[in-house]
Amino acid sequence: MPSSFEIKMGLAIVGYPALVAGLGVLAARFAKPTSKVRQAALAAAAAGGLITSHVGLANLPKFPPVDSIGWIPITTAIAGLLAVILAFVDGKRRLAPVMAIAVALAVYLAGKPTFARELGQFWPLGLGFAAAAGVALGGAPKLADKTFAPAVWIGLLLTAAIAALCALWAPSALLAMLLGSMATTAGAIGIGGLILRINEPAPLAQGVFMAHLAGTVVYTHLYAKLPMLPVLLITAAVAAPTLVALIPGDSGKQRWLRSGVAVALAAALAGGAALIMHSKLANEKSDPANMYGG
Amino acid sequence: MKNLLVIALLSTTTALVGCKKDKAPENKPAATDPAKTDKPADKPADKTAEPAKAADGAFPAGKYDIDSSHSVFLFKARHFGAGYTYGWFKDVSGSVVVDGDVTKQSIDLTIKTDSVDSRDAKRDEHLRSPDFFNAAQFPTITFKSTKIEAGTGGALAVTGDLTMHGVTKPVTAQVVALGSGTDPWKNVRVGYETKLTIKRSDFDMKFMPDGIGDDVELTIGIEGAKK
Repeated sequence: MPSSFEIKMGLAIVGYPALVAGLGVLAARFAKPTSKVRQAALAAAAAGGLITSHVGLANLPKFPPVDSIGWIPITTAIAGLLAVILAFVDGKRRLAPVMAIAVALAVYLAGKPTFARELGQFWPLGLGFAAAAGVALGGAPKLADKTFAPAVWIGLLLTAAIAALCALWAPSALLAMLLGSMATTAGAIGIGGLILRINEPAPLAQGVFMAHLAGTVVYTHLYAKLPMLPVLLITAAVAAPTLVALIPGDSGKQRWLRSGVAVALAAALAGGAALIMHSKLANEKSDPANMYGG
Repeated sequence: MKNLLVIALLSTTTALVGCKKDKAPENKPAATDPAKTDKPADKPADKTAEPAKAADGAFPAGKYDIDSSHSVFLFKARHFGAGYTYGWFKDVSGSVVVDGDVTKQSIDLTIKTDSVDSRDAKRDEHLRSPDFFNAAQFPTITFKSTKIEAGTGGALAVTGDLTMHGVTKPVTAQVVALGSGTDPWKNVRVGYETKLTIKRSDFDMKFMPDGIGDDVELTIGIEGAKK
C-alpha cells in the first residue's frame, strides 16, 4: 500500500501533469486539423502540464521569486501565452525567432543570480538553447513531412527522462523529479497525439517545452553542478531530430524508419550526457548501507 | 556499475518512494519562547552562565572577532523517521560587541553554506544543492542581532534577523555567556552558546518534508577574540 507521500509524489510527477496536458490534447483533437485552435490547444497543453508538475514539486513561487527556480514556471507561462497569441496571429514566420527569444529569456531568468553578476556565462547557454530551439522549430514543418509528428515528442520525452538521471547523479533529487515530470507532459502530448491521431507538427507547444527544459537544465548546471558537456549534449538532443528532415525520400515505410532515427538521435545525444555523469560515479567505492553510496 | 545502481536506486528511493512519516521528538526547544528554550546540558556551561557579568568586567567591553576554529554552527534534522542527520558549517565569521550596557551589545554572524560538513562528501554535495541550502545561489547564512536584553536563567535574550536561503526571519534565542579568558598570545576571548529550533519551511526549504521533517535543531557556539 503506497504511503500518502508516495501518492503525493506520484500525482505531482505523473498524475496531475498527465491530466492537465491530456485535457489539452483532447481539446486539440476536437479542433479542426491544422487549425489555429488546435495549435493553441497543444501549446496550452504543454504549458499547463509543465507548470502543474513544477508547482506540484517545487511549490508556487513568490513574485519575484527568491530562488531563481521560481522563474521557471513563470517563463513557461509567458512562453505559453506567447505561443497562444502566435497561434492566432498567423505567426508562422515569426514563430521560431519569437519562441527562441522566449527560450533565451527562460535561460536568463533561471540563472539570473549568476548572470546578473557574470553576464558572460549567459551567452553560451542562452544562445545555445535559443539556437537549438530555433533550428528545431524552424525545421518542424519539414520534419513533419518526413516523420510521424509524435516522434518529436517521444524524443523530447527521452531527453527529459535522461536529463533527469543526469540531475539525480549531479546530485539533486528535486531537479531530477522536475526534469522527470517533464517527460510526463511530453508523453501526454506525444503518446496522446499518437492515440488520438493528431499527426501534425506542434512547433508552438515544442517551443514552450523547450523554454521549460532549457530553464531547468541551465538551473541544474548552475546550482546543482551539472557539467557543461552534458548540458551541451542535452541542448543538441533538442535540435538533432531536425536533421532527419534532410534525409531524402518520403515513402510511408521510410516514414517509420525516419521517425525511429529522429527518436534515436535525441536519445543517443541525451544518453551521452548520462554516460558522462555515470563515468563520474563508476570508480567510486560502494557502501550498501550508505544511501549516498559510500 | 554496482555503485551506480546503488546510488540510482537509493537516491530514487529517497526521492520518490522511501519516505515514511516523520515523527519528530517531543522535546522541541522553542527559540521564541524563553520558558521552553534549552540551556546547554553540560555543567561547566551552566556554571558560567552569568551574562550579567558582561557589565562588570568578566566580559571586557569591546569588539571581538569571531574565531572560526573555535566556533560552530551545528544542525540536526530527522532522517526518514529513524535517526538524525548531524552536520555543521566549518566557516563561521563575524563579530560580537560586548558593552557594559547589555542593550548595546550586538552579534553579527556570517556562515558560508559551502562549508557544510556532514562527514560524507556526497551528502555534503547534496546539502549544497538546490534540494537544501543551494550554496551556489545563497552562499551565506547570516544572523544580525536587533535587540539584546537580559533573558531567563541569567542568559541573554538575543533577537535578530536570521537570513538563510534568501529568506530573512526574526528569531529569538536564549544565549548563554559561557565565560571569558586570555590566551597565551594575550588575546582576550569571550564565549557564547545557544540552542534553538527553526522550521526550514520558514526559509523556503521545503524539499521532502515527509522524509526529513520540518524542524531543524541548531546549536551555535561562538568564541570571539580581541587584542
